[in-house]
Amino acid sequence: MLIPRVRRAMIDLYTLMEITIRSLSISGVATLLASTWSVPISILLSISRSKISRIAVPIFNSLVGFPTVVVGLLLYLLLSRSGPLGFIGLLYTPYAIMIGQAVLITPLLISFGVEVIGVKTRDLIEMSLAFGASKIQILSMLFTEASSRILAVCILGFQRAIGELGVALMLGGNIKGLTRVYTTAIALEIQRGEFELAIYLGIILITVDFLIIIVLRILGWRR
Amino acid sequence: MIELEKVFFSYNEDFVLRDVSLKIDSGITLFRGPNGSGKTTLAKIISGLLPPKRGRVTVDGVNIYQGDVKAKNKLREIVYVHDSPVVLKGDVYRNLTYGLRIMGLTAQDKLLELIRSFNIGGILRKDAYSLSAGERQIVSLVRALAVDPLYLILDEPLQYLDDERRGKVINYLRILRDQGKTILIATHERDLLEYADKIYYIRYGSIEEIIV
Repeated sequence: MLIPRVRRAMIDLYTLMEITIRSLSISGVATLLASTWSVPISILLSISRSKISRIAVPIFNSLVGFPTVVVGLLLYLLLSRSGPLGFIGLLYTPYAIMIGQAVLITPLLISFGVEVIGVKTRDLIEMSLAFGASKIQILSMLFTEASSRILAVCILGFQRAIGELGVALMLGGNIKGLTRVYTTAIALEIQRGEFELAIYLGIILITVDFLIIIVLRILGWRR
Repeated sequence: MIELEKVFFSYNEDFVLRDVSLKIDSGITLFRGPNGSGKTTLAKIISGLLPPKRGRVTVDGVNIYQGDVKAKNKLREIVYVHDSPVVLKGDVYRNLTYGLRIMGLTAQDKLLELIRSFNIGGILRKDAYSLSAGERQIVSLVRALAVDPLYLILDEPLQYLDDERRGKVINYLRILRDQGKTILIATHERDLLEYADKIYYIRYGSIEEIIV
C-alpha cells in the first residue's frame, strides 16, 4: 500500500516541477517578446503629441480587457493547418502559447507603459532638449529614468500571462510533457477529480504571484 | 541678440501668443504678466523648444528653427530651466553633470565654482528624488549654469527658494549680466524687478508694455 503511494507522490512532484518550469519559461519568454515591441511603443506614445497617439492610447486601454478566448480563437485560426500561418506548424507547441500570451499582454504592457513612462516625461524631454540632446540620448534617458517602472509593468504582464487559461488551452492543447502549464493542468485535474494536485498547482501559482508582488515592491513600484 | 518677429503660437485652436515682436539684448530681461498670459510659452519658443506657428525667432541673426547645423550650434548656446524643477534618477552630482555629458563638455572647474557659490557640496551624494523643492530648483539651475550658456532662459527661478538662496541666485545672475550674458526670466517675483535691464509686460498673449 505504502510503495504505490510514495511512487504516486514522486510522480506528482515530478509533474509539478515540470509544469512549474514550463509555465515560468513560456510566460517569461512571452513577456520578453511582448516587451520588445511594447516598451518602445509606450515610450513613443507617451512622448508624442500627434493625433495617432491620442487615438492609439484609448484603443490599447480598451484592449486590456479583451477576452483571452477570443485572442486564442483568432490565433488558432491563424496558426491552424488550414490557416494562413499553418505551414509553420506552431499549433499545439509551446511556441504557440508564447506567441498567444505575448499578443494577449501587449495592450496591457502598452497601456500601463504609457501611464508610468508618461509621468513627467514632457518635462524631462524639455530639460534634455534644452541641452541639445539627440533623439537617441533622449530615448536612452527616458529608458533609464523609467526602467524600474517599465520592469514593474513587465512583471504585471508576466502575471497576466502565467495566469491565463484560454490562449494556453486553445493554442497549446494541454499536451502532457509538452504544452501543459499551470492553468491548463489545474483545469484538467479538476475535471478528473484530482483535487489534491490541482490545489498544489493553485498554491504554487499564487505563491509565484506573491513573489512577483514582493519583487515589485522591492523595485520601488511606487516611485 | 534675440529677435522675435510677428510670432504667433497656439497649442490647439486659440492663439496663446499673438503678433509678438521683441528684441532682447545682453543683460537681464524679465517677462512679467498674469497666469496664462503666455510668459512660459514665449520663454520656450525663445529656447528653441516650441516652434512658433507663424513668425521668426532669430538669435544673433540665425533662425533657430531652420533645422540646419548653424541653428543647432546656436541652440547649444541657449539653455532653458523649467519652472517645475526636473531631477533625474541618481545622486545630485549625476544630475549636475547631465548637461555637461549631453554636450560632451568637461567643465569641472566651472562646476566646482558653482557648487561652492550655491553651497550644495553637502548634498552631492544625496538621492536627487529625496531633495526638497528648493534644493531641486538649485540643482536645476546649477545644472544649466555648468554648461556656461550665453543665453540663459529661466522660468520662475526663485519660486521654491528661501531668502538666503534667493540672494545667492540674484547675485549670480548679476555676475552673469556683468559678464555680458543674456538672461531672460519669466517670473511673478518682485525681487528681480530692481535688477532688470528691460521688462516686458505680457497680457493675453501680447506685449502690453515695455519698460527699459
